[in-house]
Amino acid sequence: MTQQTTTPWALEAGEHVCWQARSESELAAGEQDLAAHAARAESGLLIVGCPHAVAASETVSVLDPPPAGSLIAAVHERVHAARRDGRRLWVLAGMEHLTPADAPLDELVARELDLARLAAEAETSVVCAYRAQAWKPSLLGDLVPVHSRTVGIGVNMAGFWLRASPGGWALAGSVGFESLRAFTAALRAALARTPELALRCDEADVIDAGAWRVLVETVSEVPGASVRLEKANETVRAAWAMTGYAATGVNIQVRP
Amino acid sequence: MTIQDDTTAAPAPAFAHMLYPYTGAQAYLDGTLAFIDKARAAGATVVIAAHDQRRALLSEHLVDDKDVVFMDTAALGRNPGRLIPAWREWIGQASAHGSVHGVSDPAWRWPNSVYESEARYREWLLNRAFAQTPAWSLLCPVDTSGRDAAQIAALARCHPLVWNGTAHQPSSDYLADAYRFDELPDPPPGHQRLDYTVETLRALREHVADWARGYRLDATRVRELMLVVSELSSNSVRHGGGSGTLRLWSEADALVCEFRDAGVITDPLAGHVRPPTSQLGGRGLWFVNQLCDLVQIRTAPGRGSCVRIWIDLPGE
Repeated sequence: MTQQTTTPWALEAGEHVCWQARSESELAAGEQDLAAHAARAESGLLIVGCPHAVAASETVSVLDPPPAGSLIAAVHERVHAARRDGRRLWVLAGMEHLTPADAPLDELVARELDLARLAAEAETSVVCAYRAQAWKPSLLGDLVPVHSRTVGIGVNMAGFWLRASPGGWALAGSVGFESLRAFTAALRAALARTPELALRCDEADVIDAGAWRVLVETVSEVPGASVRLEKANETVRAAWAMTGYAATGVNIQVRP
Repeated sequence: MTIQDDTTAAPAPAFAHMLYPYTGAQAYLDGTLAFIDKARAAGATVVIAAHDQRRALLSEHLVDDKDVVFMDTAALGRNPGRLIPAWREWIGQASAHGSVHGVSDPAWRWPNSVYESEARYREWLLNRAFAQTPAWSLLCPVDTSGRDAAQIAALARCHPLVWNGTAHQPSSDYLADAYRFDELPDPPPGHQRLDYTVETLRALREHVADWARGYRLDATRVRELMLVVSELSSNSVRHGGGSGTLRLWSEADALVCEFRDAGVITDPLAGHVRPPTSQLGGRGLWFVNQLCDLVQIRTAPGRGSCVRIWIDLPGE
């Protein structure tokens, strides 16, 4: 599911990477590596809210300071403008400088889903940099599942992944008790953006009883919301049937 | 086994759960058909959960009657923990027409003494599960041939009544208050032992999945096992003091996973009844009973809980 490659910055289109760096110096070194990889991949790099170990150049642009309250819109505009010009533009977001470290999980996850959607829709790559010392470890653990992979510390931490794809959202892995806080936040954020949420589940292994409860409660909290789990395996479908929640009329469908 | 004099015995409970010890097919037919005739004469629906051989035998001797219904027991699998929810469902379907009488003969033989022991406990638990359910009775025929006296006595302790072929009488052997479980044997030497906390739940699931794949379990069964591991390990974290110990080993035809923690399961029917749809939560042990081939639970204050689950290995 998650893999630490020897070249972590060989990014693929649509990737939304969670990079947890041990220190400021590791962050700066990684920024330089990423810029070098972007150049080799003939891609530009947009740096937002990072310590700027790399100076602006022909291929590296810096959004500094990031526009308050409209970060995603500003990044979105730059990425799509590059795309219209036939260029690729990777994004490196220094999350410490973009979001208060004491922000609630729901707010952080919501921002991450916006970045995930940007990466998927613009077919670019977004790297979210977190300096581990600046964040609570439990919070970082809860943020990992809303990325497509991790780099640095925190590799192999996630039980499930909620990933954006050009057609919508995909759920992968297994959702168990250890993931319920992250799963709740991810569902809330996803439903706030897409009240009629379709989740591809062809890479989802299991959803346990507690996670089904979270799904039912979260859908019920949002007026008019619905969730459709598509391409669900036999185990996921059987678990949903075993819960008996379908009889409550909750707007959740689970399909093969 | 002792049969009390009906005139001096306490009144029969609302749920009439009776053992019918018999020897030979003719005695089976005579006693079971007498029970069915009596029920039909009282206007009750009869629900029969019998394995194929018994179903064929009874069908030959029953007149066509829409109020005598055979249930499909094959879908139950061999986990005796599914008997109680199955009977709940069957009674629910049939009770719209009035009182219900059942014949429970789902397994020709349990695969081994471990299954037989757990099946006996579920027979005893039926009395708790249906204590408040009026207007139904359940006849459990048991062929005494090939069974020793201790096995029959053990079964008698699970049934408050005994059917003698024509009528039921209270049994003084019945354990009304507390069930005496068979001790669980120690795991074999060389078993794996893993301690877990919330930080290691995901790794635990994946470890068990890898282990099970080594025994040729197919992908679906591996995922089902992962789900069971998820439910039981998270129960330890949530209700068992925040941590637990998993032991893994294989038997001749099954994989066994044992979860131990400091918690106590206070409701003996947990996992045997799906919580109502109005209740969110409480479905973990329900999942476990539905997915495993056998579930053994031993729990007591001061001793914590031990849940052993068995997953059948695929045949050659």
